[in-house]
Amino acid sequence: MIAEYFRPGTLDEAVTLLVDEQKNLKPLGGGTKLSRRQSETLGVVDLQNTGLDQIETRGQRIMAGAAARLDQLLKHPDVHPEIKRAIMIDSAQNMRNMATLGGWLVSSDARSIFSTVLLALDATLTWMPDEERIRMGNWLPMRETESPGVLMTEVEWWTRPHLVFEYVARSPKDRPILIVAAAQWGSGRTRVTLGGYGGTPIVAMDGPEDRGVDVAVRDAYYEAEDTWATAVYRREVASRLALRCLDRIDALKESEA
Amino acid sequence: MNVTLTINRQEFPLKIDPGERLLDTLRKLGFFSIKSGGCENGECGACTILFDGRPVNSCTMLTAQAEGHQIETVEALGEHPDQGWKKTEGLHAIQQAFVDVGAIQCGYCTPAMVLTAKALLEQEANPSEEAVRDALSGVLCRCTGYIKPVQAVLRAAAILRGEHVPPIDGPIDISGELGLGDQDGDGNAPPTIGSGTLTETKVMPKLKIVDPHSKMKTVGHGEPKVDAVKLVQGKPAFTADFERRDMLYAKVLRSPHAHAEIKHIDASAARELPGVVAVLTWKDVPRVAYSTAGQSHPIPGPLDSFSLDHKMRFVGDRVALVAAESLEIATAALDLIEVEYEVLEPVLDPTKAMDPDAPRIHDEPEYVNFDESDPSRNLAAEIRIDIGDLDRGFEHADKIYEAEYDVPKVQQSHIEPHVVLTYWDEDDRLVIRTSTQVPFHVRRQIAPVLDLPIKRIRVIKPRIGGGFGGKQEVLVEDIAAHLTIATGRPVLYEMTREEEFIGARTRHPMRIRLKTGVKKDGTITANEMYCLSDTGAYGCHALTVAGNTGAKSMALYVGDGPYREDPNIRFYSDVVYTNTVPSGAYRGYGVPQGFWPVERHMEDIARDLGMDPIEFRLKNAIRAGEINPFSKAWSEGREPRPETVYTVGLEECVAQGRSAIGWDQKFGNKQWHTVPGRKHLRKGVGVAMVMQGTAIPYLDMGGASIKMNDDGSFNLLVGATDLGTGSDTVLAQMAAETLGVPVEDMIVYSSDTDFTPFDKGAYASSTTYISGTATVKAAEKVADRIRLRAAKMFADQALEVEPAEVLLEDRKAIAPSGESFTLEEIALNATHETDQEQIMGVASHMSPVAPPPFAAQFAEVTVDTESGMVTVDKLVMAVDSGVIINPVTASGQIEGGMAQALGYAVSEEMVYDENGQPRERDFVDYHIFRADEMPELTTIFVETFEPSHPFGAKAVAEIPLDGVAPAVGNAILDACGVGLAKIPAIPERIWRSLKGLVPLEED
Repeated sequence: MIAEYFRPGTLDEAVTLLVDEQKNLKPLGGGTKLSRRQSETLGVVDLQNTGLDQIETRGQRIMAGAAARLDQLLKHPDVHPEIKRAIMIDSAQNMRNMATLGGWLVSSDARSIFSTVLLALDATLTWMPDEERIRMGNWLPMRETESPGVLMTEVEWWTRPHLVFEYVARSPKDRPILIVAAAQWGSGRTRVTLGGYGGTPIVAMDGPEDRGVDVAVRDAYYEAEDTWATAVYRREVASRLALRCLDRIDALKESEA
Repeated sequence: MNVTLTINRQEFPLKIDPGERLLDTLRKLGFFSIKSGGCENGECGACTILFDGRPVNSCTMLTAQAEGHQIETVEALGEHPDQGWKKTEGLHAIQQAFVDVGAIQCGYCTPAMVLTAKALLEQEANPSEEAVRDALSGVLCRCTGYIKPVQAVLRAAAILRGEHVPPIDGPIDISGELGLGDQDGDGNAPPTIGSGTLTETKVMPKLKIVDPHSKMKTVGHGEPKVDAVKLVQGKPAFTADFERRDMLYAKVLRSPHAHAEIKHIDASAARELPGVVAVLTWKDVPRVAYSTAGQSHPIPGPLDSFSLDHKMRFVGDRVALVAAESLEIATAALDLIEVEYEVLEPVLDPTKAMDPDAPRIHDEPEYVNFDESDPSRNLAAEIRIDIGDLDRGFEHADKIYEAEYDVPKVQQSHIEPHVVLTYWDEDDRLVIRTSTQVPFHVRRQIAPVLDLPIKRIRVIKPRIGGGFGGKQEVLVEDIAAHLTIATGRPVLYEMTREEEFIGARTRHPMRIRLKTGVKKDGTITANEMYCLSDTGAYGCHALTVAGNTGAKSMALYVGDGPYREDPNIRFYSDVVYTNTVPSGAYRGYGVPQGFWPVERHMEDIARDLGMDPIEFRLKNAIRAGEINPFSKAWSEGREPRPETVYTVGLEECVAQGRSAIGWDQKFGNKQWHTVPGRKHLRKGVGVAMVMQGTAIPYLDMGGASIKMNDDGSFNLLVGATDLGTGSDTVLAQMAAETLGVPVEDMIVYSSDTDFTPFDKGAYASSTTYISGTATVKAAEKVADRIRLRAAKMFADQALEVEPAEVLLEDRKAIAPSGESFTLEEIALNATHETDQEQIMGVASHMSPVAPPPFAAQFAEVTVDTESGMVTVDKLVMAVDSGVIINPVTASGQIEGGMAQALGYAVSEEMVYDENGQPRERDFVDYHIFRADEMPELTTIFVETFEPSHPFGAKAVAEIPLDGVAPAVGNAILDACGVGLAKIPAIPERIWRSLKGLVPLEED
């Protein structure tokens, strides 16, 4: 149960509260997860007045405050259309109007297209109190066990890579059982991520070119079996979807040429 | 902590707990328009508020977060325009559009939808249909299929822009037309979307009149629902909206094991927790074996349930009941109940349930058998029906086809959970206010469980937030009642969404084997079905659901030629217990399970014979004037009596449906099946034909009472149970038509076992037919009294008129000469002036027949052949439900039913692990369709005139559940050659078939 509620007026005040380990305080974004009934007694630090909801474009990167809501991302002109499509599939409007970027990344599982797509873009997270910057791909595997700080304050990602995703679900807006996202930079760097299985999305490939992507995703999901799909299905279909992603990127490049 | 909330521009200083949810705070303050779907993840959106103008879920927000923000609820929108001497501006344009368009069914999610619409229209005055669907995406609706809510928002937008919108009246008469479909010739026209109102083409269904009948004043018109105005305002109309002083809150401790014996239970620590008033275990309540199935007497099934027991038969079975001063205390008390279990081997595979060495699920000595139930073999029911000579039929066949099919366990998923409030009244009678489809059955069936006579129980049914069969169950009433008896205090019990999945009821999963003999010319000579049905832990509805599976689906195809008069049909079924959440009643009641195999099978046979699948079906389908073969052999465990089917609009349904979907342009057209530029996609079109029943003959009875008031209005009291379907409205329309008054002069009340006549309740698609006929009979009695009095009044004015000559129309009693009295004059005369009497009529009805509605269901899909993912693009249903009393509410039934059936086809299933632990516990994993992913839905009514109903009506509510899955399955076959035997059509199942791999279930 939630025994204490704080609403600090600045980021510094929020961090000061959160670093006090005695208090067992958790940052509260939109509240979509923390407001649920739970057995643990804890306090919450509401971030709504900390100014962490700004979204800025700096050069080729977007810097989004961790308390920016998903609906703000949808409205921002520099957010990639594929990211917007991912958000629209992942979350109905009520949820988008509440859920924050940071809260989503902390609590979503591998069946989130949005998280899988941000991982493909090699997003970087900033954590307080030490302003530690950590790449999403390094943070996700230790998300539950080893936090780089007490509060995620910012998420940044590249705006320029070509970005596409494909997914499989029982219906158009159902939670996917398989997601393949691919980002390709002008340099040829190609980063392919997979979702739909396990606790978090994973990086299947990150290399200077796109050759071998079908093999890479097949290997990455070689044992990806649960009650929603078998491993053989996920790895074989992921392989096809990865190639389809690359075809779409090629088509995009052709249309731009 | 202290906070000040700003709600509807008014400030509310409050003292709250830091962890208090905004939903709970707002409801405590009396904002009952905000509903709870029992979910914890914000999936359903029934609790939507506007938060600084944005729709958000109040169930996933802390109250403290809301300080300093503007909260808006529906209470701040419009209200009833006429409040005595006080006049208001009336409903908000959005609310009025929801009423006019028929966007309100159960009304539970309506306030949430209205708010999201308001937020959208304040941002975008001229939204596209896509934008509206996105706006509504956060509010799940299980009733409407979302078409009419979308239309309501678009209509409201047009009104708010100051545009003229067309009136909404009768359906679009297409008599004499066939060309409804893709008339542009490409056969692939996208649905019309964009700004403006589409009411002419979408709100009202299309109507093909086969049997002409006279035009009526209210019957046949899209009258607004009689409860729409209160529901659109979010008035406290549902069970949980009522509170009593000193009310306690109940929680249920549920079994973590699928099969276990309680060796020891100690509730002392829970009882000592401050705020806990009662904890009940199996040791504390009478041990009475009963059935939870809400059915007529005698219950056609075993008595195998107890309020509390020492044996656990599924994960979610009841262990203990707690009543406490708050929900939080009751929840905390659950953790303090110490239970020691002896875990037993569970029975999870229905195919092994009857094995000699299978663990026995019901070994209690109190078990009461019904018919062939045999708990020693885990057998809840057995059916053996033979019609004609099956062996002879197979001998006549040129070819015999055999196949096996599976259908899954799925959940009703009404947005309002099961909820009940009980209390002792001042006469020491137990009042049960409950969200039930069967108030009279609840009273009768719960009485022995509580050790109370029926006369000391009063059951009140307020508005119901959806039921779909899930509330045809005496499921929660005993929980609150035991706790009220134990404490003497009012008790409210409301299930959480997780409890709905682990502790309520589901549709029976089945494995069905079919064997069909066919001649080369396509004549079916013999048809055999064996159905293994899984009733879960208890046998509620076990016999009757399985019976319906065969009796409806196997009655459709009798064969052609001599087989029409003498069909050869066998239907055998075993219904077995397993250690899973019990199955029960779910809209369609076994028939969707039957038509998945039958219609997939017919498709495969037709294709193998090289016949057109439509022609093959129609060649063998039952026709008007023929005997329903099952009426000679089956009547839900009672004596069968042969019935002739007088109205069959199936051929016309097919003609209309095939035109609407563009069948002739698509089926067999190779080019149409491909998608340019997307070589991995294939399109397909499929058909299924179905029939249902209308009530249960010689059993279902409904009553109605009508009395005339001083002003010429009428109170219509019915025991029938409107669970959102609009039955109150339809009954009012039929009474109004009979009495010659507008619907607004009928004040409908349903239902209260103390005041309203008996009605068996809302199931078996019976209300319009059974309760409707009772209503018309009562109205005719009242009309006779009015005519008689009018004749006397005419005589007093020297005008001799036979009572039978008096016409009741336009609120008047009119003599052949044109002289008239208003009904108000007649009412005043009767009440106050001459030979005073209360003009009233009471009647009931039971039918000797159950005329089946028929339908042709079409589906269009796109299959991703690389992943197996199916997208359903279009559903068209042409339905013969007899004369349509209200085309708006009836088409709402069809649209909502198709949406539910769509989930059955592609996304919904309940899966259990090897220990019987359920995978689905919320609307995250159990996916029901959102507004922004629905396919295009088209409804066409083909009107026949059913002679056994006063206005020619047949059933409409259940038939839309029957054909979608097989039509989708056949469309998948058409698209990519995959002939599915099992639903849902999940991607891997299709992919494996495409790859020639071992089917999923055998891997």
